[in-house]
Amino acid sequence: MSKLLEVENLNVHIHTQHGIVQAVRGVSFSLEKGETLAIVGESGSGKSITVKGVMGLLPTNGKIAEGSVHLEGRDLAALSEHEMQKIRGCDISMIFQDPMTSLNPTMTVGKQIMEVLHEHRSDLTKEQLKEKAIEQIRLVGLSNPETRFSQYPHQLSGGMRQRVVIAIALACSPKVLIADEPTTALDVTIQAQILDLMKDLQGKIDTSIIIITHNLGVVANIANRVAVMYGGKLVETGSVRDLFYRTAHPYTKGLLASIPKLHEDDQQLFSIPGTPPDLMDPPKGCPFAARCPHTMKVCQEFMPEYTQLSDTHRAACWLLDSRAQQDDAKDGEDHD
Amino acid sequence: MTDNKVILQVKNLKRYFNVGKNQTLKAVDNVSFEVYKGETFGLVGESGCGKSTLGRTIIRLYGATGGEVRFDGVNVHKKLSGAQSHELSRRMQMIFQDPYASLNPRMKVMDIVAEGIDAHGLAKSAQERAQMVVDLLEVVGLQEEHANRFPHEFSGGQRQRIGIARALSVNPDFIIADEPISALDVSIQAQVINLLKKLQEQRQLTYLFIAHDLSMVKHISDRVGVMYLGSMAELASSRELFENPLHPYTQALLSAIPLPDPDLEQSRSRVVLEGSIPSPINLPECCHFCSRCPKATELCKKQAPEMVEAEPGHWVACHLIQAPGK
Amino acid sequence: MAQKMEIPQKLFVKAVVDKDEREHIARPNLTAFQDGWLRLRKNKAAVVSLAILVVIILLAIFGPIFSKYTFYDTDYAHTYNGPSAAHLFGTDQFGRDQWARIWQGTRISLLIAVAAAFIDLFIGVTFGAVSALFGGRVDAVMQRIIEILVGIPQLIIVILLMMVMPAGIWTIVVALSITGWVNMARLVRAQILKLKNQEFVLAARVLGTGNREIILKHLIPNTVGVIVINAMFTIPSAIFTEAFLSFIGIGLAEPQASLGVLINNGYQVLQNFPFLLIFPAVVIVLIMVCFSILGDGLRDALDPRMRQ
Repeated sequence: MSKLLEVENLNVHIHTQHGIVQAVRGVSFSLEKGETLAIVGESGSGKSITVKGVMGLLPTNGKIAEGSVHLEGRDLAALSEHEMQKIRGCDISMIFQDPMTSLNPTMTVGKQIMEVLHEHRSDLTKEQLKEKAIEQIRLVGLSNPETRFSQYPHQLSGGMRQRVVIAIALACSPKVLIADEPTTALDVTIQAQILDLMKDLQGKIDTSIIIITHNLGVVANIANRVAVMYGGKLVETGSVRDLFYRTAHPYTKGLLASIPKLHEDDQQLFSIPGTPPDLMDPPKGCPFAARCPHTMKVCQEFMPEYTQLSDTHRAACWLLDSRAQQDDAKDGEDHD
Repeated sequence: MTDNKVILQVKNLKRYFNVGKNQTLKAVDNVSFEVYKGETFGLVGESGCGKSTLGRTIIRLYGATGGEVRFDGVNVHKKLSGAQSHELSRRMQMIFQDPYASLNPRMKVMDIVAEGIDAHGLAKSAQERAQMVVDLLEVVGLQEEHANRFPHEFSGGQRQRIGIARALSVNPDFIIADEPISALDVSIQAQVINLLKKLQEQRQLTYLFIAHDLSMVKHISDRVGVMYLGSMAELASSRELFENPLHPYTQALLSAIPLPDPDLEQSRSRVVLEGSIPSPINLPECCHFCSRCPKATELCKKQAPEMVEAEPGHWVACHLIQAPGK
Repeated sequence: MAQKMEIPQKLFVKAVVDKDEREHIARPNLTAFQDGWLRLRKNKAAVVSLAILVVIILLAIFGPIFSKYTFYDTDYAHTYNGPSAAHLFGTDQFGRDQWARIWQGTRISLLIAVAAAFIDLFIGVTFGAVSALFGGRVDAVMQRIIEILVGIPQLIIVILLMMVMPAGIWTIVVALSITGWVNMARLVRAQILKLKNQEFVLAARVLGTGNREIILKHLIPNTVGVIVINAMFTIPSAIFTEAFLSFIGIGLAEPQASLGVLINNGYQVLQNFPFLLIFPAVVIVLIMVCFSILGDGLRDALDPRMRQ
C-alpha cells in the first residue's frame, strides 16, 4: 500500500483570550493513493482545524503543539512557509465551504485560473495558459467555457462558482484535494451535481480526496473510508461499510440514529442529549462520556485506547474492551 | 391528531418586491394552501424559492401584495383593531433560523423569554413573571440557573431552545418554524425536532415547518408543500409525496438527497438536474421550472400550469399531469 | 498496553451521569460590561492610555490649585523664565505661570472637545435613528441633508461662523458641532438599519412588542458600542480642530488659554524659548494619542463578535 499522506499524533492548540483551546488532540490517519477519506464531525469537533493543520493554514493564534504530517515521506511541518506555499496548490489543494469568499471578486474567472497555472507552470506562454484555463473550465462541466473565461464571479450562480473553485484547485493536478464542506452552502440539487463532478474528476486526474462534512448522506455517496471526530479526537475510523453497517462507537451510532431515513416510516428519532465538551478544559476521560448512553466509570476517568476491530476498522471506546463485555454495560438504554 | 378544521387559509397570496427600475421580484406568487388544526405542514424548497418570505408574510412581518391569509377566519392583512391585532400576535408565533441572530446579545435569557409575557401583560407580578420563565425553560430542557445568563454563553442548540421557549411564552396555537434546525449540528437537530414533536402533543400546536432538508420535513410533517421560484409545485400528504412524487421537480429533489446508506446510495439511479435556479427577477409567464425540466414541452414555456388535484389530497402544478376526469 | 493493566476492573460498571450536568455552563457569569472590561484590561496600550488620560484630566481639574499663580496673573519682572522650582513649566512673555496656563488650557480644550462630542452624540444619534427607523422618503431627504453638509468644507463654515459670533468657548463648540455630528449620524443609521432586520427584532415584532420597547430594549443597547467608540474618536479630533483654529488666530482671545493658544504663543518664540512650545505640545499629543488608542481598545473590547 502506498501511503500518500500520513498524519501522526497531531495536536493543535488555539490560543484565545480565555485560554488555550485544545482543538485537535492526538489525531492520526493516513490517506492512500486514489481513495476518498471523509472526516465527519460536528462543529467544534476539530475536523476543520485538523486539515488546516495539515495544510499549514492555521489561524495566527493556532499552533501545532505536537505531531507530524508526511506527504510522500516529506515532513510538511518542518518546511518553511515558502516551501509550503509551493506544496499548497500544487501537491495539496483545498476547496472551501463558501465559493464566494474563496474567489477574488475583482478578477475574471479565467484570470484566476491562469494565475494558479502560471505559479506552477511558468514555462507556458500566455496563449498556452489561456488554452489550459479554458480546458479546465470545460473539465468542471461549465457550458460555454470561452464566455465563462471572461466572466466575474458575481455573474455566476453558487453552484457554478463552486465549479470554478474546483477548477482552480485542480489546475495543477494535485495529489491530494482537501474539500472543507464543499456542498454545505449549496442546494440539494446543486450538491448532487458537485458530488458527481468530484467523483468524475477523481477518476480522470487520479487524485486522493479528503472531504470534511457533517452530512452522512454525502459520506455515503462519495467516501471509501471514514474518520469520525468528536471533541478533538478521532473516535472511529473504518471503511464506509464498516462505519454504516458495523458501527462500533456509541457516538457514531447516535449520529446515524439521529437522522431520519427517507425510506422508512415514522420512527422516533434518537437524540444525543447535551452538548459537545468545552475544549478549553477537555474531560480527562472519553470526550463523549457525558452524553453517552452507556457511560461506565472508567470512561469518565481514562481516555479509551483504540481497539482494532478488523484490518480497516478501529474505534476508541471502553465498551469494546474485553473487560466491559462481561458487565453487559449495554443494557438499560435510558436515553430520552 | 388532526380534525379537519382549517386554522390557516392562504389564498392566491402574492408578495412582490421592487428591486430597481421596472424590476419586480415575485418572491411569492399565487400560492394557496390550507393548514389544519393540530397538523404539521411542511414547506420545502431550495434557497430563493420564497418559502421564508411566505412564512413572514403569513405572520405579518411583510404585507401582502395580493391575495389573502385567513387565520381562524380573520383576514390578517386587513386593518385590524388593536385588540384583534394583539390577539393575533399572541396566537401566531415564529421560531427563527439563526440561533445566533435571533436572540438579543444584550439581554439576559430571563428578559428574552419574558418578552412576550411583558408585551401581552400575562404576568401580574415580577415573581409570577420569573416563575413563568423558569417553567418555560424547564419545558425546553433548560434550568433555572440559565435565566441569568447572556445568549453568547449558550451553544447553538441551547439558543434554539431558548427561542422556542420565547415563542411558547404567549401560549400560541400556531407556530411558524422557519428553518429551525438548518444551522444546527446533526445530533442537536434531533433534540430540537423531538422537542417540537413533544410540545405539539402536549399543547395541541399547529406547525408550519419551513426547511430545505427533505428528510427532516418528511419526518415531522403530516402534509408537505414543495415550492419552486415563488410558486407551489406540489402538495400532498407526507407519505404520498415521498412515495409517489408527480412533479418532475419533486422527483429530482427527492433523488438528489444523499442517503446515509452507502450501498443504497451508490447503487441507485438519480435524476440529476442540469443548471441552476434562474434569477427570480422579472420571470416570464411560464412554468418556472421549464428551464431545467427534463420533460418540458412547448406548452410549459408559454403558460404557467394550474394546481390540479391529481389524486385525492394530492395537488400538483404541472402541464403533464391532468386532473382525473379531464 | 501498560496503562491497560493499571485500570481496575471495578471501573467497568455503568456510571451515573447527571442529566443536569449535561446542560451546565462552565464559564463564569459575566455581563457585557464585565466582559468588555476584562478584555480591555488585557490590552496593555489601552490601559496605559486610560491611566495617562486620567492623570491629565485630574491635573486639568486640580493642577492650577497646586500653583500659587493663576493663569492670568502677569509678572513683568519674570518674563520668559525657564522651568524652575517657582515656575515648573516656566513663564511666558507676560510672566504668567505656564503650569497654571497649561492646565487651564487643557481644561478648556477638554471642555470644548467633550461638549462638542456630546452635542455630536445627541444630534447624530437622533438624526441617524430617526432616519433609519422611518426609512422611505424621510430617510432619503435626511440623507440628502447629510450629503450637502459633507459637501461644504468644514473650515469655511467654521470661519464664517467665527466671524458672525463673538469669540469664545461656546462659539468654537457650536462651530465644531455644526458639521461634526454627520459621522455619528451615518454610523448610527447604518447600525440601526442592520439591526432592524435582525431576527431578534423580528421576533420582538412577532411577539407584539411595541415600537417604543423595540427601540429602547433592542435597538439602542446594541448601538451603544458604536456610539461610545465614535465619541472616543470625536474628542481628539475636536481638540485638534480647536487647536488649529486658535493657532491660525481665530480661536480664543487673550487672556483665555487653550492648548492651541499656548502652542501658538510658544511657536512665535520657538528659537529662544522652546519650552513654551514643548510643554503644551506634549500634552496635546498625549491627549490625542491616548484617546485614539483607548478608542481602538474599546472597539475591540466591545465588539460582540469577539465574545466567545
